[in-house]
Amino acid sequence: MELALKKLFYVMPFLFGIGFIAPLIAQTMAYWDIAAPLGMSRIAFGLMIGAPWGLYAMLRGRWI
Amino acid sequence: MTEQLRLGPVAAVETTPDIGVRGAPAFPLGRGSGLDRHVLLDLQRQERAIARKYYEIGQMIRWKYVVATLAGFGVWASLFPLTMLDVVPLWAALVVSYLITTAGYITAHEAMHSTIGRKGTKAWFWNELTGQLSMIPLMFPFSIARVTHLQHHRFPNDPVRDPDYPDSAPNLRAALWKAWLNRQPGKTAQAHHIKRVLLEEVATPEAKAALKQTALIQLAGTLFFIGMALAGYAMEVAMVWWLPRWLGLIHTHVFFSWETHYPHEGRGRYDNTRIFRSSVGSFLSMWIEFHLIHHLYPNIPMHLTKQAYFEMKPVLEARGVDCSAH
Repeated sequence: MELALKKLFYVMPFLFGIGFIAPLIAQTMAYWDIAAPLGMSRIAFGLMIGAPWGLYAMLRGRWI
Repeated sequence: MTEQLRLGPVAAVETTPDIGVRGAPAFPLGRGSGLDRHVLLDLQRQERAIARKYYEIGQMIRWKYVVATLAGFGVWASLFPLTMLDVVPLWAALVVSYLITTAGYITAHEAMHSTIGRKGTKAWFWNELTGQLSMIPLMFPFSIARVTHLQHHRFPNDPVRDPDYPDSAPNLRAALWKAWLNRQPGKTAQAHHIKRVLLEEVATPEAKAALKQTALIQLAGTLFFIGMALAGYAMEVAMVWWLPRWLGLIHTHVFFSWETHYPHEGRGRYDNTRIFRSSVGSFLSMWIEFHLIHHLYPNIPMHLTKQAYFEMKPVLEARGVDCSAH
C-alpha cells in the first residue's frame, strides 16, 4: 500500500499535467475565445503543454 | 531609576530628591538577563496575571471562532456551485477564497492549542470541528497541522526538531522563493523535513497517523482537481481552490511563519520570536505581529494578543525584550 502510494505520488505531477493543466488551458482558451494554433483542438494544445510540463516536474522535482 | 524597579512591585516604589529610591537594591540591576531572581519572579507573576485575564476573556468569546469557521467554510463551499452557475465571477471567487483559506489557518490554529475546547469537555467536539473544517481549503488534515505546530512550539528555530525551520530565509524575497520551493514535489519539499521530524523526533502513533492522513487527503484533493477539470470545471476549481490554496500556503508560510520568527536564531523563551510590523500590515497578517505573546502564552486567542501585549509591554521591556515595533 505504502509503496503503491509512493509510486503514485512520484507520477502525480505528470498525471496533474495531463489531467488538470491540459483541460485548464483548453477551457481558459475557450473562455477567452482563443483558437489553438495549427488547426489543433484546444485540448490537444493543452496536452502539448500540460504533458511535457508535468513530465518535467516529475523528473526534475520542480514545476519551474 | 532602574527599569525593573519602576515595574517590579510597581506601587511600592517611591522616590525622594535626596535619598534616591526607597526600597531599591543595594546595587543597580541591569536590564534583561542580568535581573535579580526575585525581580524576575515578580515580572513572571505580573505576566501570568495579564495572560490569565486574556485567557479568560478568550474563553468567554471562543464561540466566535466556531461561528467564523462554519460561516467561512459555508461561503467557501458555496463558491463551487456559484461559480459553475456564473452567479459569482471567477476573480471575486479567487479573492474571497484566498481570504477564507488564509484566515482558516488562524481559526485552525486556535483549535491546535485547544482554546475552543479541551479534550474531555463538551466543547472538544467544536474544537475539532473548527480545526478540521478550517484546514480543508489548505488541503491538509487538522491532525498534521496540530502535531507539527505543537512540535514547533516545543523547539522553535531548531534546525533539526522544528518542522517550520525550512521557512527560514535571509529576506522577504528569499522567503517567498523558499515558500515556493518548499511546496515542490521533489527533493526541496518541506514534506521530507516534516516526515523526518514526525517519525524520528515526535515518534508518536498520532504523528504517524497524521502522515498517513496527509497522504490520503492530498491524493483525494488532487483527484478532485483532476475530476473537476475533466468534467469541464477546470477554471472554477482553479479559481476557487487550486490557486487560492497556493496563495494561502505561501501567505501562511511567509507571513505567519518566516516573518514571525525572523531571523530564526533565538531559542529562548523571550527571543524565539518577536514583536514586529508585518510586511502586509495588521489585517493581512491577522494581527500576528504580537507573536511573542502567543509563544509565551499559546492559550490567549490570536486576536487578543495585541491587547495583551500592550498591557504586558512594560513587563517585557523590563526583561529587555525589544518592544520598539509597537
